[in-house]
Amino acid sequence: MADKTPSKVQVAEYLDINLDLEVWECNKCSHGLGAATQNYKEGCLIRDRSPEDIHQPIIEGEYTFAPDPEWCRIIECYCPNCGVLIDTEYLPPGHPLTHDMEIDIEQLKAKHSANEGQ
Amino acid sequence: MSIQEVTLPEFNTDIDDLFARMNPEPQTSMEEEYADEMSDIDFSIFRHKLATIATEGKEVMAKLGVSSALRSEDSGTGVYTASGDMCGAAAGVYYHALSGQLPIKYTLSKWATEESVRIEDGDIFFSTDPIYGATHTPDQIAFMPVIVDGILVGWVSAVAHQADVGAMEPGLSAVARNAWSDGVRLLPQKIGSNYGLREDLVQSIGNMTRVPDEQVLDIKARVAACTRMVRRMKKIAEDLGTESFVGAARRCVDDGRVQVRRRLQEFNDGTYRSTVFIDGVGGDMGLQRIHCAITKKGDELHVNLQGTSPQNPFAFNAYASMPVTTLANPFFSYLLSDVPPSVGLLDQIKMEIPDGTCLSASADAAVSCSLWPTFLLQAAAHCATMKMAFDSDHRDKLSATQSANAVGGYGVGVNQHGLLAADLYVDPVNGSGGGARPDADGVDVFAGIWGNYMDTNDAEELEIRGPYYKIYSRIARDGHGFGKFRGGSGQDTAYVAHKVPDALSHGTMGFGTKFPTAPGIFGGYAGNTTPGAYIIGSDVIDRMRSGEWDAPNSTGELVENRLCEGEYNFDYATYPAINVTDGDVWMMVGAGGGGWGDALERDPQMVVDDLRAGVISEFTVKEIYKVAYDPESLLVEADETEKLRDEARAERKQVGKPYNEFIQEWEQQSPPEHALKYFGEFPGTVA
Ligand SMILES: [Zn+2]
Repeated sequence: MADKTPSKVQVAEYLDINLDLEVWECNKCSHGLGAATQNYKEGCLIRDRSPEDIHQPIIEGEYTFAPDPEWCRIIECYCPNCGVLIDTEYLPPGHPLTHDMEIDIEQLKAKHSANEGQ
Repeated sequence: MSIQEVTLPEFNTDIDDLFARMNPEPQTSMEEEYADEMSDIDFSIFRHKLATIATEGKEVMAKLGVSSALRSEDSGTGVYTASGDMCGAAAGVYYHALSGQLPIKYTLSKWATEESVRIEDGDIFFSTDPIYGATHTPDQIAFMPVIVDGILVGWVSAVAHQADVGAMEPGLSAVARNAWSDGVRLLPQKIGSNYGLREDLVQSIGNMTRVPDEQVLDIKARVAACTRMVRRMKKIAEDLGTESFVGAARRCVDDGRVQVRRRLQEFNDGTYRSTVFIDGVGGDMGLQRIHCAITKKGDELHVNLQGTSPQNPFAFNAYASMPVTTLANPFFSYLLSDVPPSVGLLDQIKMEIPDGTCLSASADAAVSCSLWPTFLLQAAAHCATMKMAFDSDHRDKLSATQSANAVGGYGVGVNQHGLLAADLYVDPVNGSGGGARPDADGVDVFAGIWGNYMDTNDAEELEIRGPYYKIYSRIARDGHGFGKFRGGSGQDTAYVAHKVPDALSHGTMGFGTKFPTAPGIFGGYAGNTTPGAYIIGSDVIDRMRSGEWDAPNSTGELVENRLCEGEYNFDYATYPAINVTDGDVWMMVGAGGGGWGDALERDPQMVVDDLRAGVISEFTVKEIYKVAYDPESLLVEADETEKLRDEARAERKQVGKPYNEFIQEWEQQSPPEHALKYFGEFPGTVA
């Protein structure tokens, strides 16, 4: 019989945590994205995009109806294996990326082993 | 006349730290003794009655009031325990009801034992100073005690946004530099007794604004709501007995605490962070950061705002009582939307706000636009809490952030009927887009981020009230965050001035011109950015008369193709008051909610349906969603779409850089110096 403990927990649209290995994994392709105690973004491919790639300017000048590329960049984080877009951040140029999900792995493991016991 | 003694609750009258009193007061002995007096079924009926009373009050206010914001339910009514803890509410806007706690507690502390004031049955109190609870100067609150058999058993309040409050500019003053220039600030005070208003006092308050009649009528609308609620509350208390009433009212708060603890236990422990940026401070442009780190452990939530930018010299600041009330919308309207609202729901939240930030401004700061930075905090808190709650049985309650833009306009002057009138053009604000959901798109023309239950103005009603009419009103094209599920789009509308007797003072306040405010989630993109835009001396009215005016599909189409003559102006979303007269046009593009998930995962049919509906452009279909379709029939070409999407994924892998390599290059960059004037240290440290 298969192990009843779920070895993976989906914690975001495109992110699983593998409880056995304590690593982040891509939910689409199971590619590993680094230690679950670290920021999953460290396991991603990162791209700095001009916001005008996504939000089309309508007029020229200072106020274009689109974000200003000197003030605002779009940071995209991709799975290095399947290329799914795991996260976007809108940041001023050079601003540190956000460590958005820092999950308590011990509590997560305890919760799932408790569920198994039920 | 002898003063009748009223039995007050046991209450700690030391309110030096008034902001800390947003949390529930200790149980009084009567509350404790009668906490379990009722059966569960009777209690749930009691609680439902309180909700119904609050709803009735809110409707009474909306029907009797004049201000456009009040009528569109930028309002809230609350019912409170004798100690001033919110035990029920109707929204409109929940935080209006929550913020009512502070003026009530102030009144209990200061005036209950002051011989010249006191608290008696039928007393009417009123307050507008954000130091004592109102969220910003226009959010005026009327409140009344509920006294039965000489015992104070509860309170009621009615809050709504007033269009003009006598600040240095009409409407809200974004450029106000201190607390003495951002509008009337009244201490919580008695303005009537024995269920009647002191007409001299009410007229005096009107006299402090540009539009006295509206102010007076709207005070009366709030008071009418309160008197109705008091009458209903008294009837229940008389039927149940005062002690049972007091015990049950308190139980609403304590039950909320139980519910929130239970809910928080279901989420994964950890720290969830979100950082968002506001691109102006009212009188100037510049970036400010709002950072929110939410640490959830067991049944407690610790919210740390360290990293939030400093207080700025204009009115985009909030006092420290605001941040916790800001959480009302993500909590009351999302994560705990199935639990009756009470302050108990916020009791497990511990807030840590460093001194001197734009969210913990000093008492002398202008705060008439306090909501703007708190909208951003709400967006950040929304994002962080949704990530916290993803792995739970409550995924159906989640969404990306709804639009946090709030480009509202105002017009103040003599209207076409010869009357002084003030209007807030709330459509692009109250009609902002909702956030995308895990399994569905966000709602178009949804609500402002501070209250999910507001409405846009009725166009005809606005046109009757003010010397202008609407020349189009659309769902904004590309006005939302793209994603697997897209955010809702906001309302895109324009007004032309018509039959202006003299000059109408018009301006806007908002943000989100250079930097979007509604982040996407899980790979979704943010909602759109919107400038201020107006046309002086347009020929729109002449064109209408001669039948040469085709209403455009969007403001974008109007300005791109210059569909009318006139002097086109584009500015930051907050532009100072200008005088407009017949033919002048102002455009207001509402912003949209954030997207959810990778745009390449969106069902191609939904993409083409949006194109057909005019909600997105061909650019977006091709460049964002990578959908191939037949331009004549608008049928999806599935194989070609899959090929385009595979290519796009391959391109991502080719141009994306490994983290360390990326960071080395990224860290060398910074925004232009003028963008960092109000930022604080860049990048500085965050919690
Ligand atoms: Zn993958």
